[in-house]
Amino acid sequence: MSLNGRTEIQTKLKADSNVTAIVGTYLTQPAIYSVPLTAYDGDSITMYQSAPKNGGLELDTDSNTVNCWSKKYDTAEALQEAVYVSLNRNSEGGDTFFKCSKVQVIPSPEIDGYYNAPVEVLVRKR
Amino acid sequence: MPVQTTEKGYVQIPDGAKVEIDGGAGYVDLGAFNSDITATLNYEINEILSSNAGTIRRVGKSMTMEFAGTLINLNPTGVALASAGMLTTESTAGAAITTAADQTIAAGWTNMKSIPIVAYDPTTSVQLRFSSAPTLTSVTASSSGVLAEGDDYFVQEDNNSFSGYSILLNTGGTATVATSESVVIDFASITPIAKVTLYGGASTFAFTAYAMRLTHTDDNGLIRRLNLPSVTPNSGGFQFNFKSSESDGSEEMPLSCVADLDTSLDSGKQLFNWEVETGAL
Repeated sequence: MSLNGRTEIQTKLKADSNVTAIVGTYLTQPAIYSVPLTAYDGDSITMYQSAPKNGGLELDTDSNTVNCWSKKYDTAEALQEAVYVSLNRNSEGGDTFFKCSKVQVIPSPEIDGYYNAPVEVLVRKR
Repeated sequence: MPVQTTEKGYVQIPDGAKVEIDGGAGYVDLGAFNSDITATLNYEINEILSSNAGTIRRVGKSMTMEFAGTLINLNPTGVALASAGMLTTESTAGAAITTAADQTIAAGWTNMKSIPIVAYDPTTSVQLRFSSAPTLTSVTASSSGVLAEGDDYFVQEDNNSFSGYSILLNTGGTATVATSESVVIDFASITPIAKVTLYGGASTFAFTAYAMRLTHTDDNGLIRRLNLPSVTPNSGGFQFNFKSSESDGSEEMPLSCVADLDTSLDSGKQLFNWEVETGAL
């Protein structure tokens, strides 16, 4: 799996109009990034690998965290729900399967900072 | 070291299954299970031995398949279905409800496809099961107006509808209602089922075998399915639990069944069949 499954997550989310309707657009693409950092300062999604990958498994299995960022609590939560519905127990490309857990929304320590609503995604690929 | 095999096209990722039973009136979904669902093939082996030439032949007989799973959707009707006639249900009707809110069927419905009829108790907001077909004041389409029963729409019993009934809308009726129209069902009177009681107990009883199928459908609509045409329950299932408040999860009922040969089918195909659509996860 490319980027430990995050490329497949990104592809799935970019194709979901319920997700892209919430996140902003950076240059010409929805602000959905398969890496932790973004130069975009609107509502966005970033990802990172959140657990070790076991190379001895018979099935490719990766753990990733998808962070849903917004300065508004309800937007962050709505984005988290859209990501969860888009990915949970759905597949991408016929070979990749996602299972998700929603994590409680993390407030920013700064008064004008971003809320982060994470979704833990287990990616399994045959 | 290299990867030992690249043959992974039929690796199937666990994601549960729908368990359905057909007791003669079409398949009914038993609903939620909380365990792995398993079906294990069993048979007996008879070895024909010689005293001087080793094993001459191994032959098999008595093929069966053991089903096991733990049901948590404890619908008495479903439990009775799974008992193959050993247990029966009786429904107790409640007082008629004449003030149930209308049901609106959104545009985009499918012609002549069952749409569950859904109604709620206006006092408790509990979803209703009907003890008999509801009496309707009218069924009205947003553009075509009032529809005629037996022509523009049909009401039928439907075991896969929570209420027990569904409606089929017909674009080929006199009103020529279109699938782009929303449709409102105005209920006149609904007699709900207040209670369902499951009964069991007789000195002897005979099973009436049912068909069972276990289906996984992925988000591309591709399925893998195990069909068991002749199934009866095993002793030891049907455990009624009242767990303590310290217990996790839900109340549950383990089910154990055995599939036998359906001798009305072709030899070699009498016990089960397993369908896997190409690409199914």
